[in-house]
Amino acid sequence: MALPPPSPKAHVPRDEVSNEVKMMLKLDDRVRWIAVVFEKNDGVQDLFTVTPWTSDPTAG
Amino acid sequence: MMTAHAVGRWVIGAVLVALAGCSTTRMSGDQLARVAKDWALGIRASQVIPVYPLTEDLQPGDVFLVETPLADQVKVYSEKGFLPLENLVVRLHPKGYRDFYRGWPGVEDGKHAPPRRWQFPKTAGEEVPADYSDAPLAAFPTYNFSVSRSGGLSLAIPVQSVPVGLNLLDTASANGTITLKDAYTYGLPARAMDDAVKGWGRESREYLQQYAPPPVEPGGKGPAKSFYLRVINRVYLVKTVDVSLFSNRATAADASAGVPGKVDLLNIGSDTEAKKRFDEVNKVLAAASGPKGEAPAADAAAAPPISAGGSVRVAMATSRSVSMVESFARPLVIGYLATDYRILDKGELGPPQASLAVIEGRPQLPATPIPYSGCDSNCGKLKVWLGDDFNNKANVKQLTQWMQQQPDAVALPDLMTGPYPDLRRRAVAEIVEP
Repeated sequence: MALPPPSPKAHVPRDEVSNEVKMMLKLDDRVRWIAVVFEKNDGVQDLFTVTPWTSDPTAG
Repeated sequence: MMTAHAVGRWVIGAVLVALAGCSTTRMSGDQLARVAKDWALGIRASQVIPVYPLTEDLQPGDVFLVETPLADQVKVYSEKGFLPLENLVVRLHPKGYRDFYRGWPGVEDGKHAPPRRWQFPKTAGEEVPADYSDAPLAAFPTYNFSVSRSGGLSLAIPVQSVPVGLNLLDTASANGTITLKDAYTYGLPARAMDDAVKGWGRESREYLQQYAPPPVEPGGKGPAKSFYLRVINRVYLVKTVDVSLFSNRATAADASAGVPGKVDLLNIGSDTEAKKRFDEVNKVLAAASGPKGEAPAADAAAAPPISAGGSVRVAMATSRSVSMVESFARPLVIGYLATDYRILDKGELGPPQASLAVIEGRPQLPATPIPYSGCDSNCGKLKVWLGDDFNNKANVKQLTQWMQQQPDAVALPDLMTGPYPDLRRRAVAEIVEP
């Protein structure tokens, strides 16, 4: 049975965003769109939410 | 004042013209497309995917192969108003009706699962009519429409009452309302259907494999084309359609030589005359639409079925309006709800998505975000084992296969840095450092 699609990840530090994006694309070839959205600065670093999609989220 | 004989002749003439107008063979392709679209738009307003043409032979568990790419499906749905259900792959017979309709009289699984008991009630070797009185009820709003006969009968509603009514009114155009009465619905929850679909999918992997997405061409724009399985999980049926037509301009016959002039045929003002004429009209309708050689029923109210499956009778009429009731021999499916499964590599099925959301192009809602938990020691071991930049494809495949066997399976990116330390520990213990 196919695995569930990957979930969005919250609170990803700026320095780790590129690794997360690479991992999503490399480990799950269903992922075709990824959104990186700034969440907040927790006083130390910027945090982002990285959201993968397997189908076009902008369709329609 | 017309004699009864003259009225009868006029009625026969009008009805024959009306029934001839029912034929769709003379309609142009554009007109047929418009019929489909206008009808479908009305049904779509009720958040149901329309069926066109209406059919009895559609039920939960029917699986269709959708060949149109998603973007094109959206286009077809917008343009036509409905989606052609062309490729029926299999009819599944999922269980779960008895549990889902617990306490509902007469609902069971197996060969008497809905809608069979309602379609063909149990008898002692005797044929009895369909009885949907125990089926779950549904209700649809009344739809308004305009209809014109200029340039042919470009009707917008796939019921025969409309051309009949138009001719009885002797008008070239009319406004009308259509009410779907005696509506029923039944279905199964998507979860129960999911079990049946996934079970069938496992057995039919070889068949499904031929519909796996082709590899993406280097430099190609957009996603690869995908095939979907569309699995019906709820249907809506209608047995009776009420059509009311209101003439909104001068008669079509006014300028036509050889056609009778305006006739005050159905003036309700005269009680006795009106009843007589109603009976006359209904008798002719019954005779014209009944099986060959069959005499019209003595009781005009019990009109025999029209060859297309319904019977039409006039319920009320004035010189400017006519109300007709069309009944189908058995309820027909007018719409459905379904779930789409994308066919993945090697014929596997993707997660279910509501068809309506897919074809209406509603943005896919992402799952609730999981917290990033960093790369712990087991994540580090998995990373090394998966190769630089996750390029060890054999190990990625092995990890995928291992994960598919886990009862708490998650996507691999979630495994690596999501809140699943126990799953990571097991993965390392079982496949990285066995």
